[in-house]
Amino acid sequence: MNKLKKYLFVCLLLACLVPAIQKQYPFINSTSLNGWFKALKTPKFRWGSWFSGKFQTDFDKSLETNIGLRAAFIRVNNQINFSLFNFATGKNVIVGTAGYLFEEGYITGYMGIHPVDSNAVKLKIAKAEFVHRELEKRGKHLLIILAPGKASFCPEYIPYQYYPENKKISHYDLYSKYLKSSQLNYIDFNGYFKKLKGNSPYPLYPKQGTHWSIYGATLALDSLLKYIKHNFKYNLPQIRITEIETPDSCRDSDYDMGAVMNLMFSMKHDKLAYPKIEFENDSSLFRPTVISMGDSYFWTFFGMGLNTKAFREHEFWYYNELNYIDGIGETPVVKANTASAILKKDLVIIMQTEAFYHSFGKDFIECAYEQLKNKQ
Amino acid sequence: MVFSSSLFLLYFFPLFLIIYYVADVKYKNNIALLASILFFSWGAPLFVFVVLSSILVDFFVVQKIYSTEGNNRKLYLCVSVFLNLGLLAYFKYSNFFVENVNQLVANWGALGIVNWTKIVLPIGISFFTFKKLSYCVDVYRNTHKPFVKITDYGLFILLFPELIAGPIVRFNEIADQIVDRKNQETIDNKLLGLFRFVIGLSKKVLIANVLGAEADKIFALDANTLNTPVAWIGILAYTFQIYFDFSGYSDMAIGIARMIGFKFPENFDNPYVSQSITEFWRRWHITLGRFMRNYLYIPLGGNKVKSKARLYFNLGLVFFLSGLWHGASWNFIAWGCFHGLFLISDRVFLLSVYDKIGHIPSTIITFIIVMVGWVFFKTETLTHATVFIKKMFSFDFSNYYIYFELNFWTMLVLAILFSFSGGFARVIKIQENVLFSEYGLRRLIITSIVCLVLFIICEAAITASGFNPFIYYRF
Repeated sequence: MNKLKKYLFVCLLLACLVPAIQKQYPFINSTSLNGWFKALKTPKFRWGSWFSGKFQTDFDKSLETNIGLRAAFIRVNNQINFSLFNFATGKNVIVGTAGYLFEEGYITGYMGIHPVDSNAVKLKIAKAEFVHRELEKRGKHLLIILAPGKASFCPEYIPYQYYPENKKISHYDLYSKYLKSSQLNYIDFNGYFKKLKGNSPYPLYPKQGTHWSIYGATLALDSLLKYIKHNFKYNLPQIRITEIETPDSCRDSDYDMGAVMNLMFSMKHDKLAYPKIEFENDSSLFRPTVISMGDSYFWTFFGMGLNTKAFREHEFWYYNELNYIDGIGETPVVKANTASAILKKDLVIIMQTEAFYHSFGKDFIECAYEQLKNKQ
Repeated sequence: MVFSSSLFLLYFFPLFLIIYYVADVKYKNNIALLASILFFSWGAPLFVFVVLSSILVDFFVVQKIYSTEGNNRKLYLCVSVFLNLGLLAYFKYSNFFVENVNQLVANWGALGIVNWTKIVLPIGISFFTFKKLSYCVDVYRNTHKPFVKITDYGLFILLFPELIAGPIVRFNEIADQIVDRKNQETIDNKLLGLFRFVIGLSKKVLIANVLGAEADKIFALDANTLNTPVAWIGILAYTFQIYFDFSGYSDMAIGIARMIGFKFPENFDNPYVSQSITEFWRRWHITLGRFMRNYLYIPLGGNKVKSKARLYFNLGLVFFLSGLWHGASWNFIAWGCFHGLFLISDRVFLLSVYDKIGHIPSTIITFIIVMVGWVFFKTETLTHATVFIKKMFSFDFSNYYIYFELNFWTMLVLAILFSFSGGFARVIKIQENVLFSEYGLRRLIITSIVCLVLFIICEAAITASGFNPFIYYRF
């Protein structure tokens, strides 16, 4: 009996050492974690930092982010929290009803939780109208896009703790109202998607994705290209859907929130559609030069080839902070040069998503307005 | 270094145990001492030198107490007590003292404010100061001979399982165990110690941390804006957080000690089933209560004083100092006095009232008193505490938007069940079976599996606690 107890104790003790052994000599295949997070490096030992306690603090933090089997531990924890308590551990991920996940910013945006100031919205639109006029004078165009929001699209799945029945006036409500009466060119995909709801043969929003589905984005891309062609008289390449696949698994961003949940087992999802598209490939077509300012919603268009197949040159100003230039890479946005940059292009697109209507344009409109005014 | 960290659980703890078990019995104390110094240095890299120096001085002063007779003996005792309390006073209370003097001076409109660089409170100072006091007093009282080897004394003071948060092990309780290390490491002790450690870890990580997060959220809100139910949920969460946190830590300390062949005294005995504050203090932080009784209350005269007034004064003083020991702030003093007041009230009339109303009402009343006391403990100012308590009893049921995740409610219900089931004889028997009785093979294997699963879940929670990835990089 004692011998057995000894074996049992040794096994338990060794079990505590498995992560340390795995770290040093990996012997278990461990999947990596999804999402954006900062990994910490082990600090260098210095007596000064030891006596100040900084080394110990940094070492503790770096160890927590680098222990062996870390991904497995995190997945176990997240699975328990999700399966037992319906609770998501990803940053800002909210578990809705019927297996729907939401990013919190979209719910707060839809619910009108951010303070709404209609005068500020009017002023922002007035400034955008000024930029629009200045561009039009020079034969260039400004296009505003209101991207759809998952919370607006399917409010019935918002969890009860947000009291969805108490929705207030949101920034979207104001922008859609005032854009209608403005001179600005705009596309309201939020309204468009709500109209399509129930009539679309395939889901426009994935249950576990924060953005529109690839299918929904394809419809949006088609509408965008048509809008540019008809309103700005640019005979740019259009798209054609050649085939629609409906695989069992989700692709691309259609499972981005599900992935960031970092669970042990995948969540149950709807059957989603993946259209194959072709751009018109005629050298006589006009491909405009474009600056687009937006966020992760706009990335979906990249995967479809908008920037390379429909535009001649394209700069994507991500959150008006990082500039992704085709063929060059990423550089910081120089806000002081906003006006001179947009004047070099044929078309400027500002695309805003529901989570960020409260900070519409991220200073882009203000910078362009001030600088163009000074040029007058 | 805290027990509930990956550094401790996955590296320090298993590696220390392996080295300790492999080593010959004559080296075990030195290995434990070195590990304890490393453990302490991790959190107090400079202060460790102060502690080691004080251990050196103390060791020789106490040798003098033992070898000297007459008045000099008392003199050496005074030197030792003065040195230890002096260290505690300097490091723990000087900030508080200077702040209050300055406040007083400012209130009188006088000049001459004392300029002062704030002193950082070293970890564990309150606990090891009490152990050092118990060493010199026990030797002075001839309760036990002093240690012959300074390393043994060092180990008594610094033994890492109880260094930071107790239990407060008195010298005469552990002296023989430190000196004679033979035959103390049995496989049953190792296994039961490990089980106890995992139980403590689970109490801390799975229950206390979850409740604590919500308690912190509520106490961070402006108390004036709260309504009565939210205030009660906040204090209820804190009441169980502090119990599962502290008793979990004690379980871990007792468990590790048992694994390396030491028997530490129990520190908690289902305190929330107490039927009076007097009983509460026999069940809550038992080792502190015993220390205060043996080294302060009894020397003051204990129960054998001439007048009741003197008795109440002694009780009040003990609880005033007990509050101050918990922390250098008026809130801790208020908490100590609050408990002292009810302890005196017990003696004056409350115990007879409890007798008349029966067990369950007495338990509920006592629990509410304890909860109100915790408000002083949790808040940082007396104003905050007062406003919070007012909210608890204001019967304000106006709308207040706050949301608690399902894991909070689950852990709160579990905490309530675990805490109050200790009032039933059958549950106490189960507790004793789990913690103290010998295990048969079948039970051993089942418990091992349960503990392994709990350990993995705890480590998973610790690892995931700082991991909240963004879906995309965002500005």
